[in-house]
Parts: sequence; C-alpha cells; structure tokens
Amino acid sequence: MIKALLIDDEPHANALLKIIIEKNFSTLITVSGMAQSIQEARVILMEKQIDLVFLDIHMPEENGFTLFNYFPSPTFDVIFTTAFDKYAIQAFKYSAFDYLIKPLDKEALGETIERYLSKKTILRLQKEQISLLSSYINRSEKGNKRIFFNTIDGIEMPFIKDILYIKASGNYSEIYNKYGKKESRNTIPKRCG
Amino acid sequence: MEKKKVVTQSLKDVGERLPTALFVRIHRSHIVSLDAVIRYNKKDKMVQLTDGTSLEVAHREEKEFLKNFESA
Repeated sequence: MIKALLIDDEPHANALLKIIIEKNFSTLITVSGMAQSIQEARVILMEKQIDLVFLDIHMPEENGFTLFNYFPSPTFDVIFTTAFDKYAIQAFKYSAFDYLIKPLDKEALGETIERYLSKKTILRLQKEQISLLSSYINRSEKGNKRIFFNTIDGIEMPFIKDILYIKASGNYSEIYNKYGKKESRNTIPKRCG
Repeated sequence: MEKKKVVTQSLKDVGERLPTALFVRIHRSHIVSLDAVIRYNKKDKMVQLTDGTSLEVAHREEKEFLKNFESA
C-alpha cells in the first residue's frame, strides 16, 4: 500500500483529492496526511513514512519547490499538481515529471497513478531536475516582471507581458509596447482665455 | 511610456534577455511576443499582432515559430 501525503494551500483541493483516491484507488493508495503549507508537510514527512507526495506548486508562503530545500534527497516520490497554465504544462512535458492539472478528475488521476505504478524502478527526483523544472516555472512567471533596457536618455523598464514585439534598428532595437501612446504629447492642458 | 521606445541594445542582446517561453524570433529583424500573435497567414508568411501590426516571418524561422502553436 502506497502511503500518500497531499499538499495544497486550499483545503478543498486536498479534500477533493482524498475523496477521489478513497473512492477509486483505495486498494492502492492510502492518504496518510494532508498539509496546507510546506512547513506542515515537513513535520508530517519527518514523523511518518510517506511514499508519495501530491504537491501543489503555487502556494502563498513557500511554493512547492521549496519542499526540496528541506529534503534535498527525498525518500518519497512526487506528483505535481497545478492549475491550468500553458507554460507550466510545457515545462512538465519537457522535464517528464508526473503532473496533474487541477481541477482534478478521476480519469486523469487514474492514468497518472497507473503510470506511476508501472515504472519498474521508481525515479526519485534529482536535485538537477528539480532546479531545471523550477527555473522553467519561474520563467513562466516572468511575464509579470519588468525588464531593464538602456536608452539614449536613461532606462526603460516595461513589464515583459506588455511587450508586443521588437524590431532591429541598426545596432539598436525598437521595443513596441501594448499600452503606450503612439507619440508623446504635451500633457499640460491649454487654458482657454 | 510611449508605444515605441528605442533602446541601445542590439536585437540579439534583447532577445537573449527575454524569456524564451514567451518570445520568439521570426525574422532577422523581428522578435514577437507569443501572446500578442492573433493570426498567421501561411501564404504571405505574415503574422498579425493584437495591435494590428503585421510582421513578416522568415522562411527559415517559420517551422520553429509554428511549433509554439501546436496543441498542448
């Protein structure tokens, strides 16, 4: 019997996963614990022998990847769970980790568990793989970050997600932004006299 | 901020600093945001962006460009 720990900051997500497991896969997996943060999970992982962790990536205090800071050589396997995000999915495809897209459903969970059980030798996550995946995910979040460019008269720092395209202009480049004005205008209103 | 801003880095340098998951080089003179692409005309090899801009996709970049739009 596989002993599983469910980690998700949203209690209903843990509860739903538990119900799906107990209804459909109770002969294979038993839910040994549920945690709403990495710190809670850490305690459970130290106290109990856990074989498999269902790990949510996006959590408010510490994201899923920080678990591996506490357990650099984990003795448990991990199946990531994530809300739909095309970049994250791309990242998972590249890295060949097991993952589930939330909201979870019975079929997807069944397929993932089957795939997990059919692995002849269980692959523990390697440190390098984790950092690779973590960098992919971080990259997907980068759209909300700013990028800095030098200009002739200073620095330009648009949000990455606001950049539409870039054109070469000799040795320089032209950055075209989503929200910019077409031309700069005098912003001081004329007073009518 | 203005819509167009000239920066003192080459297109190559700018491209290297942008996240590869979000941007793609389509031509020796153009890099586009994948999120900004709304249409691609295979015949003209022109890509249309959300702001109405049309840009040419170079023949040798086309295959790599289209890879980004294969169904997940």
